[in-house]
Amino acid sequence: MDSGRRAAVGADAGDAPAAARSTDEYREIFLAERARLRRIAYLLGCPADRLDDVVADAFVRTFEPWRSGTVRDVGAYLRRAVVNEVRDGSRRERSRLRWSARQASVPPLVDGSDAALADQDRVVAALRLLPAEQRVVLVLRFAEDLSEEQTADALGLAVGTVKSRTARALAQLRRQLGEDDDG
Amino acid sequence: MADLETRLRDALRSAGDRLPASDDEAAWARVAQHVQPELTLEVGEPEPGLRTAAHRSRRPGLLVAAVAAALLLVTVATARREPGALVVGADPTLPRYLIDPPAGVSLYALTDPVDAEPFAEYVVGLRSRDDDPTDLAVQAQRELPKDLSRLGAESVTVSGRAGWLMASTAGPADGGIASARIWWQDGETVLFAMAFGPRASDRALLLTLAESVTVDRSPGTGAVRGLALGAVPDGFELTFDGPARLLSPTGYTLDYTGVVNGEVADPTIGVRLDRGGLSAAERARLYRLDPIDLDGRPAYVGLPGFWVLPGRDEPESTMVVIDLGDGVTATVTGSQLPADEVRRVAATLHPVSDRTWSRTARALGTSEPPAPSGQTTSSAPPTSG
Repeated sequence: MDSGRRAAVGADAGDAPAAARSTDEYREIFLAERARLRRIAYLLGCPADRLDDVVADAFVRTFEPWRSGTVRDVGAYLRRAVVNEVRDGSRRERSRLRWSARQASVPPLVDGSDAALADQDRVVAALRLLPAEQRVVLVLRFAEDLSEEQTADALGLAVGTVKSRTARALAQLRRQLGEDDDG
Repeated sequence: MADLETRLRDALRSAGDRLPASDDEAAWARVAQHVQPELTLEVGEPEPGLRTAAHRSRRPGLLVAAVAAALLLVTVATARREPGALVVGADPTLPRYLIDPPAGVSLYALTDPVDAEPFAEYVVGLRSRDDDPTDLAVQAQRELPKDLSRLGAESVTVSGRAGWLMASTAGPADGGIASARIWWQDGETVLFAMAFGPRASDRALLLTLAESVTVDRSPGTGAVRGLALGAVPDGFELTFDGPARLLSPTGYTLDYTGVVNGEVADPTIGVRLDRGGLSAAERARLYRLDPIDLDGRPAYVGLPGFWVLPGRDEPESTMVVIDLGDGVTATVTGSQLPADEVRRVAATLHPVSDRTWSRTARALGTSEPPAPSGQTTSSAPPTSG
């Protein structure tokens, strides 16, 4: 992702007067944020063939609040929209009987013989098997580098809840990886 | 090997680089179709109500005024088409309440479940109280799956009726998700219960759930209005996946669904009115809505006793319970809406006279307005098992 472009867009667009916000600006935000949001969606359990749909839906939902000036941090707002899209998408899928088949298959990203890549695949696959409430905390903490306070704020949780879920999620991840004793 | 947190951080950061490629411009084109085109007008200072218009022309004048007037007319016309929504209680002696739709969301009463793709909506969700990721859900559907025999479903009996149970256990190789499903028929309706998670193969759990399901039908038409659970299995609690009315064995609710791009879609807001108030146990589970909400903005005031219960891990699945006094409680639930949006809807709840109620019902085109106070409603309340 072009982090430089993202930073510049975020600073400009986030503080721009509401009346000046245009679809051209929104396009810049889209191009800057899209890769990051696709990654978040994937890590949260979204099937690869649904990533573009989820991210597009999040941008569509965010457009009006952003244009009307009610969004203070468009990056955070989009992230939250993606989190909700993935969560609600899973719920809808489940209720329509397609959830199980999709969730049951967590394909590796690459056919890696590289040990490091293979380990990363194992970690990601294990992450995607965690309960949603644990998974989202780990993604925000370790993929988005949010602090415990920022994660709590993003999810509407108490900081203590974030701490406890993080600890439980890491413990569960160790179990998933068969590394209970590794600490 | 590095510690788990470092490995996790590396894995999560690198995951995006290895996702299947996708064309930015094509993706933007999809989004651009759904964001509103801008007006190509400009005035010196944007007028209230025109903040979202772009301003490029340097000639303020009649054209701008005409557009402003047109927009105002559209706004007024829209408001007249949506004068509010009726909130219905099972008890005909309950006071009359209206609730107003949130800005930007078109609301309508879901009056014909058959034509409004009801079955996917009729979900009663349950989730285990601990961190066990087991989920249960019940829903109604139109037809039995045609391939039950090929799926290996076995025959079971649910409430004296023939049913079909299919369970699968899954190991880590296929995602670790076990599931179990049971179908059975009630009249013309096929009911469906399902479970996901490590306990999903517990057939006794699923059968207990299935046995407790009852169907609420519209008198005369026989159309399914909702489902009710007579018993929640040990270790589970109700969640708010479905319309709020499904959670109440005694109350009616009108459900309102947003229209996105001309299609019925989320977000969903459910409103319910009940007599009886909250039990001490229920109150204990709810968070008191503080004067300052999570985002630091003032909370809504004016009605006694607000509580808000965000979903367990879902900040945008929100329930607001309002103690209206005299033992009457209103419950507003929302999904896929920010909590403050749900609260904004809740804050519009206001009592009205029977005359206003009737006028609003006519304006909404409600085909079956509830009976005035003191009379009997025309629909029987949902049953519970």
